[in-house]
Amino acid sequence: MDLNMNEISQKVSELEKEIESLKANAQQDGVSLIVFSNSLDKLIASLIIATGAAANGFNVCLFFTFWGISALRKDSAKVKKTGLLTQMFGWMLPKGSNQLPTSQMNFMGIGPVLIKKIMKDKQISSLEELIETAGDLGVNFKICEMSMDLLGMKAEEMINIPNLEYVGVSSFLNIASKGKVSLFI
Amino acid sequence: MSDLVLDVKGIKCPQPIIKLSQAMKTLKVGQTIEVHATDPVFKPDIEAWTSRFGHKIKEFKQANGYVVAIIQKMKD
Repeated sequence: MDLNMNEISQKVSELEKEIESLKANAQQDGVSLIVFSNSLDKLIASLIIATGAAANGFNVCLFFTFWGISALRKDSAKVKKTGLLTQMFGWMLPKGSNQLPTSQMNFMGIGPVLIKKIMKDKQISSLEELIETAGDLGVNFKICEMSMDLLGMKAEEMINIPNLEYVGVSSFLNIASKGKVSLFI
Repeated sequence: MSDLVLDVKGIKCPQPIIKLSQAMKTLKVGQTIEVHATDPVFKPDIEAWTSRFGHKIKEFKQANGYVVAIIQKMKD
């Protein structure tokens, strides 16, 4: 034998460490969505995919960044902001899911009203119901802290959802890299 | 006879699957659930759903204006 006992036990412990890190980075059945847009239609699509994936047993992560974050604002929140530009952003961006425009055929706000009516008539869940269902199903909501700050929005403005967390790009990539499905919406 | 009947008539994707997955949690392995649905994508969607979880579609039939699927829970 070329190897003595010490070398063997060293090798074994090295291998054990390697197996542990492989396990930690192993692929899971994960779906991660980057929700960039604040268009009503794109939010509905994101939440339908997210709730459907959760019902299919996937580990789901929604990463809200830039304009997407305004979909999670409370409609009534009044938060003190400093700086003219951030005040302007706060005033101009939609306050929550009820104020979102559509990406096409918005017609100065008539489009969303029509879409909501059609969805109701066809018994399709509203965006608010979908967000609530997603929370119940354990979908993870992550908000990009950097872009929230850039757009002058604050954590106090956000609606109450279970599994809501403020993270950075590294956390998102760590989650996304473990799943097989990643979408940018 | 099935152990549970779930009526998801009228509602659309992804709600029928969400309701089914929630109802399935209340069943024991070996028990069956009978689902009544009108969603046009219900058939391909429950086929995908059951194959992911390893459950078994025992019967799939047309009824008057809706479809009936009988699914057996195979795993927890």
